[in-house]
Amino acid sequence: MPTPAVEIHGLVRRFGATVAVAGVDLTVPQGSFFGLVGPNGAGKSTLLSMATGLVRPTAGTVRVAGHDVWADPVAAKARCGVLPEGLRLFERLSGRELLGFTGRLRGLPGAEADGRAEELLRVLDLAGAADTLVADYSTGMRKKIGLAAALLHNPAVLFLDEPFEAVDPVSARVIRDVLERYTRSGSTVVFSSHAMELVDRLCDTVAVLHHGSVVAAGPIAAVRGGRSLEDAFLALVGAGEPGAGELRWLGSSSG
Amino acid sequence: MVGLFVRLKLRLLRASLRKPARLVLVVLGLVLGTLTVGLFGVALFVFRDEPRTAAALGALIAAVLALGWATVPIAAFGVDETLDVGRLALLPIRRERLLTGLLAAAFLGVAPILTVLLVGVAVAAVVRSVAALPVALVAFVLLSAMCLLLGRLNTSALSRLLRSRRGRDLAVLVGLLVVLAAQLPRLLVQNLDEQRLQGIGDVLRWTPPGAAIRSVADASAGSWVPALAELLYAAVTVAALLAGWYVALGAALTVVDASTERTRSRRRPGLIALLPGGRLGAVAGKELRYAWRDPRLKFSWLQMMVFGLAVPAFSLLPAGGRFAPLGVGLFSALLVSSLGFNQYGPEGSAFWLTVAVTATERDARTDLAGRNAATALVVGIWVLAGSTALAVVTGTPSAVPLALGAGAAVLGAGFAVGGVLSVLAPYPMPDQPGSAFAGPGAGRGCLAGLFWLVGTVVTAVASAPVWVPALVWGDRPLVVVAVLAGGPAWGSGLAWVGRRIAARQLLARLPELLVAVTPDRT
Repeated sequence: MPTPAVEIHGLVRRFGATVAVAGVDLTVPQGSFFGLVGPNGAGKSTLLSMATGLVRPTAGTVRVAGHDVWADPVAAKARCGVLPEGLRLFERLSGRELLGFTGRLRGLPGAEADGRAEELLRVLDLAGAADTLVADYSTGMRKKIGLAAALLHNPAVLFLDEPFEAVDPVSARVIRDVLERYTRSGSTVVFSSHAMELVDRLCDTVAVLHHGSVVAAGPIAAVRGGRSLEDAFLALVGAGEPGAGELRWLGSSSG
Repeated sequence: MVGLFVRLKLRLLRASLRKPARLVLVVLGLVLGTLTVGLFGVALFVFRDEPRTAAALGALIAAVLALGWATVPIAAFGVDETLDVGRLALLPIRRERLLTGLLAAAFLGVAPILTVLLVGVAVAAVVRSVAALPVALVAFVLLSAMCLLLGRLNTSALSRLLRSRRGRDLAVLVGLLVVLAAQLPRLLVQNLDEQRLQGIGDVLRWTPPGAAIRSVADASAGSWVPALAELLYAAVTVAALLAGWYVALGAALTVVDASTERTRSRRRPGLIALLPGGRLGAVAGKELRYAWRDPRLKFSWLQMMVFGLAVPAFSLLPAGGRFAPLGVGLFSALLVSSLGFNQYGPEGSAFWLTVAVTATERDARTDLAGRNAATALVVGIWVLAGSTALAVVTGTPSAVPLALGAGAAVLGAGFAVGGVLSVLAPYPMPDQPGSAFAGPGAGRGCLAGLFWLVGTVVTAVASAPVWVPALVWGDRPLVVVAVLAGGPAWGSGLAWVGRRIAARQLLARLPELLVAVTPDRT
C-alpha cells in the first residue's frame, strides 16, 4: 500500500478555553480528491492550518507524504501547496509578480518560475490581469491567483481552504478543471467547503467535521449511505427545522 | 428622521467607546480639546483691548477650523462609517429628510462639539456691544454649519472615489499631509507677533470664515452696512455648501462605486533590475515594490530619508567641515534602519506565505538578508547623493567616504537590532487601509515607541566604534581610509550575527509570529 498523502493522529488545538479541534484522526489516500465538510466553526480551517504548518497543534501529529510537518518541515513543506482562507496575499504585487515571487521563495530557478507563472496565468484565465495589482482583483480572481501560487512548485498534496467560496461559476469551473487534471496525475487535493453539492460531485473521499471532531469519514458512497450528501450531512450534524408556530407572518403579504 | 439619525450616531459612539483603549483616546481628546478651547479663550480675552488683533486671531481660528474640516474627514473616511453615505443607498429615504438627519447627526461627536465651542469662543471674543449680539449669534451658527458642512460635502462628493483602493491610498496620503501640516502652526507661533497676526487677519477677512468673524467686529464698531454684507457673504457660502452637499448626496446614493477600478503595475522599476536572482532577490524586490506602492510604507520611508538629510543639513551645516555630510550618513542609516524594527508587522496576515515556505534556518536568514539588501540599496544611494551634495557645499570631499563607511556601520547595527526585535517583539498594524491615523494597534503604541527608543540607542552604541572616530578624527586621511574600509566590515559583521540570532528565533516561532502580526478583527 502506498504512503498515504496525509496522516493525522490525535490532532488537538485549543485557543484558551475553546477547543477548535478535539482529537482528529484522518488518513487521506494518495491521489484522492478529499473533501472536508462541516458547519461554520467546526474547525476545518484550524485543521488545515495545522496540517500545513501555519498553526501549531496543541497535541498530535501530521504527516504529509510520510514526512512529519513539525519534526521534518523541510521535506513536508516542499510537498505542500497551500491556499488559506481569510489570510491576505501580497496584494501590492501584480498577479505576475506575486507568482514570480512565490516561485523563487519555493526555490525554483527564476526562468522556471516565470515560465510556469505564465502558463498558470493563461490556464486560469488571468493573462489579461497579469499586470494588475492583486489588490484590485475580484474574489474569484484572488482565489485563482492563490491557487496558481499554491500549484507553482508542483506539490504532492494541495490544501485548499474554501476554494469555491464566493467564486463566480466561470472561475469555479476553471478551478475545478485544473484540480481534476492535477489529481488525475496521482497528486492529492484536500479541500474544505460547505457547498455539499460541489463536494458530492468532485470528491471521492470525504470527512465530516463537527465541533472539532470527525463524525464520519471514508469513501463518499459509504458516508452518503444511499442519501444525498447534503441529507447525510444534515443528519450527522443534527440540523433542526423551524417549528411550525414560528415565522407565521412570513409569506402572507399580498403585495 | 432627525431623531433616528441622532440615535444611530449616539449608538455608534457608545459602541466605539466600549473598547477601553478607544475610551482613553476619546477622553484624552476631550481633555486636550477643552484645554485648547480654554487657551484660545484666554488668548482672545487678553486681546480684548485690541479689537483688530482679536478679530485677526478669531479669523485665523475660524479659517484653520474650516480648513481642518475640509481635509481631515477625507483621511478619516475609513474610520468613521457615519461619513459614508453610500451605506444608506439602499434605504428608501427621500434626500431632503436624509440631509436634515445627517446634518443633525453631524453635530454629535467629540470633534464637532469642540469645533462649536471654539467657534463660540472666537465669536464671543470680538463682540464689543450688546447691539452686535444678534449678528454674533447668526455668525456663530453660520460658522459652525460651514465647518460641519465642509466635512460632509467632501466625504459625500468623494465617497465613490474613497471606496476604491486608489481613493483610500489617496486618503492615507492626505492624512499624512495633515499630520505634517499640523507641525506648521508651531513654526508659525514661534515667529508670530501682533503685526504679522493683523496682516494675516487682513487677508483672511476676505474668506467666508474670516468674513463671518469680521461681521461681528464691524457690528460692534457700529458699521452696520459692511457687517451685514459680510454676514450675507457667509450665509451665501453656507447655502452653496448645502446645495453642493445636496447634489453630492444624490450622486453618492445613485452612482455605482468604483471599487473595481484597476491599477496596472509597471513591469520593471529601475532599482529592482540591480538585485540578484533567487530567493534573496525576490524578497528584496518585494520590499522595494512595497516601499513604493504602499502609501503608509512609502510615507515612512520618505519621512525618514528626508529627516536623515534635513536634520544634519539644517543643524550641522553652520558648523562647516565634514560634520553635515557625515551626519547625512549617520542619521539616514539610523532612521531608515529603524523602519525595520517591526518588519513583519506591516505584512500582516500575508506573512503566512513566509511561514509556508520557510523550513530551515538558512531560509530564514535569506529572508532577513533580502529585506536588508533592499534597505541597504536605497540608503546607500541616498547617502552617496546627500553627502556628496553637502560635501560640495562645505568643500570637504573626504566627508563622502566617511559618511558611506560610518553609515554602513550604523546600518548594519540597525539590521541586527531590527532582525532580533522584529522576531522577538512583533506587533500588528491595524487593518484599516483607508486610515492614515492607524498606528500600532490599540494600547501597543507606547510599547512600540519604547522598542523604537531602545532599538535606536542600541544601534548607535553598537556602531560607535566606527562613527565616533569618524566624528572626532575624521580630518586625518588614515581615519578616512579606516572608516571606509572598516565601517562596512563592522556593519556586515554585526548584521550577520544579528541575522543568525534572529533566524533561529524566526524558525522556532513561525506560527506564533503569524498570530502576532495578524491584525485583530474588529
